[in-house]
Amino acid sequence: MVRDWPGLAILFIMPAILLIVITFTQESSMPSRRSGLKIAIVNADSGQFGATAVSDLATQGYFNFTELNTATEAREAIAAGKFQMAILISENATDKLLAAVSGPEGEEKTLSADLSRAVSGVVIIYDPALQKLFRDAVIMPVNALLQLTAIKVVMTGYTLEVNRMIEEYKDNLASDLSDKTMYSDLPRFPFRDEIINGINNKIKERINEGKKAELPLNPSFASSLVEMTEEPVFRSGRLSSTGLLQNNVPAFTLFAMFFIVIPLAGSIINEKDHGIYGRMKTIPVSYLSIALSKITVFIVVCILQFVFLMFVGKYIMPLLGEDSTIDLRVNVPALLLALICSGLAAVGFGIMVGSLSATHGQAATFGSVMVVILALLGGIFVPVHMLPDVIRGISIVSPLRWGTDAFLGVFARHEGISGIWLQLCLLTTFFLLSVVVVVRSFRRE
Amino acid sequence: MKEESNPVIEVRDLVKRYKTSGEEALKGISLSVSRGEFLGLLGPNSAGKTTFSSLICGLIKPTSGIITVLGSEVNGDAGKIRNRMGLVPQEIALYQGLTVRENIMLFGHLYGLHGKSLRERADMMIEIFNLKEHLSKLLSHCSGGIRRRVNLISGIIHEPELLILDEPTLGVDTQLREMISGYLTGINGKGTTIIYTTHYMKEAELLCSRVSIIDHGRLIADGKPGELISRSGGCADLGQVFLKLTGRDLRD
Repeated sequence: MVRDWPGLAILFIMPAILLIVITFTQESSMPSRRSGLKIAIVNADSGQFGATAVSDLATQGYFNFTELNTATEAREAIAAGKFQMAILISENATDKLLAAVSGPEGEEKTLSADLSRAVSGVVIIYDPALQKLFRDAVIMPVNALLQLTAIKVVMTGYTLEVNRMIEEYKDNLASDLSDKTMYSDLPRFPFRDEIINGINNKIKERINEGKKAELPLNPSFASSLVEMTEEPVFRSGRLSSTGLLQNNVPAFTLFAMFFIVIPLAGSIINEKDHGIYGRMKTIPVSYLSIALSKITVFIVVCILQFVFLMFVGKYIMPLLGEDSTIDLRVNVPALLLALICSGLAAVGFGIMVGSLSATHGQAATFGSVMVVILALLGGIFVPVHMLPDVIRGISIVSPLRWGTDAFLGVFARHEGISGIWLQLCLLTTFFLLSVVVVVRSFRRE
Repeated sequence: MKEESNPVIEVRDLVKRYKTSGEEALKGISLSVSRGEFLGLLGPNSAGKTTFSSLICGLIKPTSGIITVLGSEVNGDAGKIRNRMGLVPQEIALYQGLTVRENIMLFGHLYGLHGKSLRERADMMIEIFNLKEHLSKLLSHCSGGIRRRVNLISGIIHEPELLILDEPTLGVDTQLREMISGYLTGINGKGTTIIYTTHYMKEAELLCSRVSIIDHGRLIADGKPGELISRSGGCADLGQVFLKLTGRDLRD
């Protein structure tokens, strides 16, 4: 066993790599400060809401936020892959919240403000390659935090407005003070009675003791003060779906393609075991030609895998109750190139493992475990942006990452060839290097 | 015309030392094989026969010496003469996942045969070696005898000028041995040069027009079987000559 270096590597080195990669991947399975997920915030609001939101988001402790100046800058940064999400606070966010407190401009002031109308908009823009699961993991706590911020703003404004009106009408206030006249048009107000009683008590306090009124703050006060809109950032055109299937189907198709290592490496080991490798050297055909014919066949297999998994995603998954859909109106030349280059890389990986392995066991174990490791590094299971810096750095050498980036470029970001050319080049280079290794190994055999 | 008169194989001072083990498998062999000869390459285990065949086929590079095959120098690569020579290895070097016919067609195709000529040649071989009933069987499901026949056909389907066979009758029954011997004698009669490695001395004595015995990496005897027997001084057959020359010690 001491002489079986490949076997020892499979027993010791591979599990160690798996342990490291899986641990980091598990830690990164949800967005956090440690993950590499980059979120921008753009505050165009000059009022209290924007300032408080930025301050609250900066101190919340879950994610790292970077403040950018404009929405355009944020969109460009997302399109360039520098950020995965951005929170855009509109320029009149505070005004919209407070408009409901003070009532429409020009109308007679009353204390009958309808707080349920106090709604401001926040737009979340995102890289469509970021799966919905991970987007939601950010959006949900951000939404809760912004709702709280909005409540603070509204209640502060409301308190000020109440104080102002008490001051204005203080001579007549005692006789007018009744639930019926003051708050009758607040039908959808949550905890209406408690809040109204609190306000009444505070107003009485103000009148009787000459103190400033402070309204009770209840976090459950409003659940929809801030309406959040999600908007994917496409460089050109757009796809109708940014759901789970739009990301998962191409990603797992790529994963499946790389598992071609098992039959492909197996066939090469068979050739070696049965002496066909040696016999081929006496045949008037170069091994490159033989390898290329093998490659062609397996590329066709990869294409069939793609078609089959697309069919499953498009037609079988909805039958099983999946809500999200897959939009296939992608850039066709980019798709074909991504498919062929990924197939070439997968087949190159397969023939390389087959050429360098001595036995079926080595090829199957090393090949399959390596595919899982490369897939973890490549963002098949957890987006690459979520991985810690070190692991993300290592992932740059994973052909599955290049393939995932190319496929997600086509399927999630609606990219054309110009958007994925780097990945196509890397995949093709990997394939060519694999062929060189295989031919050299054949000559050395 | 010039090529006709030249030897098919010309080997001068051939040395092969394996880098990994440091073993010197061939220690300066010189040998010439003329067109149409049926040369039996004999020797005990580890004598250097397979190394010699591998060097002739261009599978490995010599450490030193010159190998000329069919007029071309071979130095670890048989290059352009590959389609003029055929190798029938000792092991069944075929695709187990293909059928008998698919294997034959594949190797015919790899040797440059196409279309009608490939089909005709394949059909002829199938007829000669009586494989009609087994054509659609996967090779992995075939008996040893059938595999041996397909292995032979895969090395001769292109009708090579030079045929190198490494123990082609290993483990086959008498009937198939007869069939193979008959076929090889036939093509040798039509001009095919044959290098035949075997441990069966009787077979070599009957088939080969000339026998070369290699031991410990050296050529220790070379000549017609009858001449070797008569020169040996009292040996009744080639087997006895072989034992007399190589000794009775067991080899690796």
